Amino acid sequence: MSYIDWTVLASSLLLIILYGIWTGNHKHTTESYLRGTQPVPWYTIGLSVMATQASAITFISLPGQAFEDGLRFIQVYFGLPIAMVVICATFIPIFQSFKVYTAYEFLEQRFDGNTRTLTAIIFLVQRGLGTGISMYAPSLVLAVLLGINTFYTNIIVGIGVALYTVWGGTKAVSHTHHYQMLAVLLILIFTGFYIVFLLPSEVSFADSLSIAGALGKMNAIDLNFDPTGKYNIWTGLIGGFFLALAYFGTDQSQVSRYITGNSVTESRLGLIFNGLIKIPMQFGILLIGILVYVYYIFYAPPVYFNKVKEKNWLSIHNTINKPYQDYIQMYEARKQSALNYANNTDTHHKSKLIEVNKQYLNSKKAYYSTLPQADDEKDTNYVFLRFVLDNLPIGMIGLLIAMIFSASMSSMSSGLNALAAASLIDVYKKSFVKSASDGHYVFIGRIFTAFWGILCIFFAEMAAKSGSLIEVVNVLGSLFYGTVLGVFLSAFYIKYIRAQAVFYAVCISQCIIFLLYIYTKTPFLWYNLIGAALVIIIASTIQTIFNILSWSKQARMP
Amino acid sequence: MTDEIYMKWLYRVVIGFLIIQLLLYYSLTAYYQ
Repeated sequence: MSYIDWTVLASSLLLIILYGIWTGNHKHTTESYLRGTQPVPWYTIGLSVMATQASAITFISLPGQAFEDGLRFIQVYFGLPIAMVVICATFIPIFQSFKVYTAYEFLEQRFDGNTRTLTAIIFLVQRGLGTGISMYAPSLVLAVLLGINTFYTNIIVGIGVALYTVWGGTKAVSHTHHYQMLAVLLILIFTGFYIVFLLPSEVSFADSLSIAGALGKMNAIDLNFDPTGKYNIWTGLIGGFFLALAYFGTDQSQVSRYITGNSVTESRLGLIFNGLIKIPMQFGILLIGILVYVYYIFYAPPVYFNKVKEKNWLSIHNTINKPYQDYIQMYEARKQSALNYANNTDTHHKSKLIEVNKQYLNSKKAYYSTLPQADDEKDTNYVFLRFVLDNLPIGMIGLLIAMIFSASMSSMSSGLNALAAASLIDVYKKSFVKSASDGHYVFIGRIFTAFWGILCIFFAEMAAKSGSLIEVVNVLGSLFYGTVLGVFLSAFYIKYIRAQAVFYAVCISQCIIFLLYIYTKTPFLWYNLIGAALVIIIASTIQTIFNILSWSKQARMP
Repeated sequence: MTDEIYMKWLYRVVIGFLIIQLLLYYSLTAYYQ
């Protein structure tokens, strides 16, 4: 990266951090620290909700996902708009009417303290792991830029975010989100146009889509109901609906975004905005991944997108290696075939391109099998980052990296803020110090933020060993969200279920979900539905048993 | 009350837009298959 990019990167980050500190430099009360005191307009809530979800993972890993797997990941988001409507119509009015700081406070009012603590603990574990994984993404960027181990960059990023959150509070996070989302979207739109500009002159945008389509990457919708398939319209609409309902409706990091609204209408409009924009935005990012894929058909892709790995590869690389020569030869053949298809999009050229692509993939597989650590899935996460570093104009690279960084900082600081809020309100205030001064709680809130920051650094180290980040973060969420959602759905809609029954149901359901994950190959999106259904069914059954026992006890009484 | 009617219309817009998108993505998939 050039010194201009470094200057742009450093000054952008400095500005964002200073802005966060400046806006948060007021005397905090517990309420203003965790919830904000002034009414927040709907567009700030909407952008904030979107930016909380769109961590660095989205911008780094999503184009890589499309590069590898085509557009089909978009189906994960199909249930989201429906979930937004359900949350607006039922969840928000309930949260607002109860005037709660965290989503779990509501559970105590509806059930009891134990249910609230148990649900908060499940949230803390899940969100702690999730925030740690989110933290790994910017650490990865920093590691690539500085050429140092992610062990050190995890620590740098972790400490930076903890300080930012402690000094800024939710309000500052909310304000910075606003500008970042717009900046990120603008840069991504620019990147999309720029890739088309970089393609050979005879290949238009429409041609690049035709080439990607011929090679199976334009697979946005799969109508086949395959219970073992990870991504099809059914997992997306049903599993995705429950995932979004749980994430936006019960995850404190999201609920705190729209509780800040202080007005039911503003909060609802913010979520409606998210429901309208989310799918087109994710589609646009995936489309950038498709364009990057087409770009690497015409310009030789690196053997490893991860520069550190590439450096190791270069030290053992031998150009007269037969599998390597075959691979390069097939790459050239595919490039020519793609050019022919771009010039003449008929079925003959299409089938020729498909055939040559098969041979290319075989030769690639044969060559990679000769390399050490050949099948490293994580390389997918580096695709977009590498493209940006190698191709975007000077200045723009620094700006995009800064925006990816700041987006992840906001996302992580929301995560940390939510973790601190749940630890403070749902565990500390409830079980340890029930009444103290506001200053005391603000101080303890900051201690919790620092504590979770350190813990997330450890989780980020663990993420280094995982696969595609965008998938990992969704799989992890799905393992816990279903159960938590089940508790909230029982609370909202099934008055029959009481505290003790739901408490046992959560414990049993969470164990069943873990067993299913370990021993079956159930696609992860279904866990959201299964978890919620299990809690409701088991809680209803236990409640019925309790009722029968209590009736029979009463009947036996003289 | 006005807010509620207004929101109900917005919910319809969200679901309608989702259906339009599903049709668009389906056409896109079918076209490039």
